[in-house]
Amino acid sequence: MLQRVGLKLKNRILFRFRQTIFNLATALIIFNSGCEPSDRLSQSAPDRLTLGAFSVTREVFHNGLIPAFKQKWLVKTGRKIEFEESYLASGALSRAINGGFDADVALFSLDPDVEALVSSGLVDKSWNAGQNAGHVVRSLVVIGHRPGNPKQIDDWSDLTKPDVSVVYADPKTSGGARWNLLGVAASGFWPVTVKANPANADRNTAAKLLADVQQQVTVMDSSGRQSLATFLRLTGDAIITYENDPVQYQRITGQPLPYVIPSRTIWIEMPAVEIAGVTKKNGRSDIAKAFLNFLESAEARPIWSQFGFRPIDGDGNVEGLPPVPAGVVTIKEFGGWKKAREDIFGNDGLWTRSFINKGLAQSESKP
Amino acid sequence: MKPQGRTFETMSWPQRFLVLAVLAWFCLLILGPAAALLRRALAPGLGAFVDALTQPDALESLLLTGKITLIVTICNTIFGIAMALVLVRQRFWGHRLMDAMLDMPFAVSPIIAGLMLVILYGPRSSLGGWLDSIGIPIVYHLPGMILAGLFVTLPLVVRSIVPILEEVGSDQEEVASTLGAGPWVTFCRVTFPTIRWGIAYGAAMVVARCLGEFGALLVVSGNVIGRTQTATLYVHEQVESFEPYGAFAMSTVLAGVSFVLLIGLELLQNHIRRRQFADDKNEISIAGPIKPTRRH
Amino acid sequence: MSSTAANRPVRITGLILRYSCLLYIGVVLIFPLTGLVVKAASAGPVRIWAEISNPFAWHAIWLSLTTAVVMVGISVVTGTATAWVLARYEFPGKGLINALVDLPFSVPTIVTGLMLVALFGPTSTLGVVLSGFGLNIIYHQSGIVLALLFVCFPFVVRSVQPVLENLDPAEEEAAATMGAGRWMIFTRVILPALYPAIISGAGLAFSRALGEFGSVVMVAGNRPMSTKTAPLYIYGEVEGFNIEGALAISLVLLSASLLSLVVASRWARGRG
Repeated sequence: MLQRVGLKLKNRILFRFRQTIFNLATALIIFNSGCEPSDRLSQSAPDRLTLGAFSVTREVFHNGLIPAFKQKWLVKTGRKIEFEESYLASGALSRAINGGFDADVALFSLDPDVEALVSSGLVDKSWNAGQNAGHVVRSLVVIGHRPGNPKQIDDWSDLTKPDVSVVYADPKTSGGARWNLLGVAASGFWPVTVKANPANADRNTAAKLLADVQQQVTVMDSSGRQSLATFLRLTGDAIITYENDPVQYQRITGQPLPYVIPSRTIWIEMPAVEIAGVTKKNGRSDIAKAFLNFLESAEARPIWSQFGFRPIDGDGNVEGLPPVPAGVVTIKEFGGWKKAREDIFGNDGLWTRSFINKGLAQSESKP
Repeated sequence: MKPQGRTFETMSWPQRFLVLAVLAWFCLLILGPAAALLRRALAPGLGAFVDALTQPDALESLLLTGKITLIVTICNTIFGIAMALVLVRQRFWGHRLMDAMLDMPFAVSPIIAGLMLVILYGPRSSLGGWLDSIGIPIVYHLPGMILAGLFVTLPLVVRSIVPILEEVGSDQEEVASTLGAGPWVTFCRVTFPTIRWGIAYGAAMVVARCLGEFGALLVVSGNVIGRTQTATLYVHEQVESFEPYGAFAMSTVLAGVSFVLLIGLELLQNHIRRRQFADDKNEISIAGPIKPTRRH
Repeated sequence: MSSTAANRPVRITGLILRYSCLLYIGVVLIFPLTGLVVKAASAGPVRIWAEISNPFAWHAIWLSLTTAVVMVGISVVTGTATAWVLARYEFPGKGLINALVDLPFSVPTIVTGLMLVALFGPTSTLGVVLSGFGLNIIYHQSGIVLALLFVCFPFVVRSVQPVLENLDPAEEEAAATMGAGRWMIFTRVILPALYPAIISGAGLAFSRALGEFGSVVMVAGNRPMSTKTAPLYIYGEVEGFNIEGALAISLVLLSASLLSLVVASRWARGRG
């Protein structure tokens, strides 16, 4: 009896053992095939380009620009091109590329994310030497609200009303949120009647406005896109976001997502660069340059604007989008990114201080 | 043991209250969210559900998750058994440290787990750079994601076998080896049959944990669609998109696979238990260790 | 029990087994951990202290610790009760519940967060009812506790349940024949036997809670100095290119988790 059981067991174990070996072998085969794309070996391999872009540009690339460029490439060179796409938060993308993610071309939401790659030698120092300082497209910081505008939100000051709850992303993790808060700060720094420059910024008003708006915030998601998703789940009365986000949303879903452009706001200028450190190795530099040129070309312009982005040159007005108000500033009026970061988000920055003051007030009122 | 078989009808009022309270808590905390997920995923009908999952990006991500899970489960099951044997049957310098270290993955935040893999094996580190130069890129490629999976699931198999090994002791193994059986034969004939359910349970947990892993993969993967985007990263991206339906469908599949695996294991175990130990007076736990105390 | 096995001389196969295991643990676990600690330490104590004493970091660590403690408190009571009910009583649907206990391990945590917001959020039916009673959960600190309760639910249940099932009924019966009441039997006979399991389950739950990210990020609201927990803070610092800050807080979090595990296992062993 015992022997029989033992024999049966042995057979079973042997069977399992064989199976395990088989599984391991399959795993190894899958593993290897996963590491080496098999079509690399074939002669008529299509061209390839790896694109890294920050998350809110997913729709415009995936549904608009990439199909158009594929078409153009086929006509121009007679060759097919295939894209690998990765959409990450701007900071995460920069970190991933710095850590070895082999994107050939990358679009970021703000310049410091490119500077990080310049300092590690992956991007050419002259990336911002061109006419538009390396930027390919821009958008505006706007306030999205509920249909019918029940809380009557027209400008930044309306966000400080006690019954309005506000949603925006965390500026620590989201480059977009940094732009958003710069929009708020701009309105505090310079009344609409004043011509903005770094010297005449009203720090006290800006500090108060930033603190008062922050006071009304319910959720700070980790990315701008996440923040919009939260707003669409009916949290909050207002969302501070990029203009292209509500436009893309309306275009794709057909649902209304109204927004207002505040009288004083800021141009979000997005840089696109070739990751020279990568393209030098894989020889895709020409394709990368062609794609970058395409992004700024006249052909790409209507695609960008369909998805809510505005051209980098001229006054920014395009068909189908509301007119640009006169009080729009750029990062230059803040004295550049380095100064703006320090002034607003640094350890002694206006936005950062608002928490510490509030935290002190709270801990004093609590026993 | 009398109280074990007590049914609802034979309970006293406080006992009924306790059972109902636990059920209510369970419904609120676990069943509620699970049902809400299921409702959302199946609301637009089965066709839409299948459609959402057969999108090329979704399929690719599922395949990648499958690959990672398969490899991680095999590695951690084999080494889990080995580590449990070493831990219980051997005493050596550093033994207690090893014991304590094995629980570390439970303690390390997935974000930190990802971060440290990038620091050690990232292409800009010396070790990662060297591996990269000989053609084994780790971080932002499959091997890094497998390492992340191995890390977060390391303790699961070990921790489900160790209690059983401790409980049964080593008497039978010693008898076997005195009778001239080699270590491999002893393992196959004596040790393995006692711990097989522990192994199965541990392996099922590895699969479940691996399917649902997110934080560590977020940091080590780079999230390249079709290359390093796993199912959970796909969920993450869908949650951020305007139509989060794909996220619900995919999550249902992930949770469903784990659920079917765990409940299937339990049913199988019950079945075998009933057949083999029908006349056994010993109480045998359902999910816990089975005590092979019968001797003919 | 296993001391006889331990004192036996180890054969060559045993040695091979041992060192291959140690190598495996090294590659998967020890090397990356050491790398992290070395890199963090290389920033120097002054820098590390500056990062930790930053009020934002300090608040995040404090919030993580307190929410984890509250969660463990609730989880110990409810988890033990659940294990008790599963081990001792028969009722319809028991098998299903027993299998569903592990569900939180297998649902992607980001989806957990999404579902909790959908179910308890300020615009859901339940959320509206609860806020009518003055209970705001989602986007408040209690939301963090809720998410942690979900994610850590299996720990206490799964460590207490097997012990309860293997408990020798003779002791309880003896106590009962000696006239002990039900409560007395529970506190004097059963609870002491469960202590080690409860404590080790609580230790695991606590350390997991300290590190939880995916679900908390959706549920907490992520407001600095209010609902931003330590892992969220670390993520923020990583994204904001402040690796030293991230590593310093990681060290604190890691030590706290490790400490809780070690204390729990020591305590459990001492009692058991």
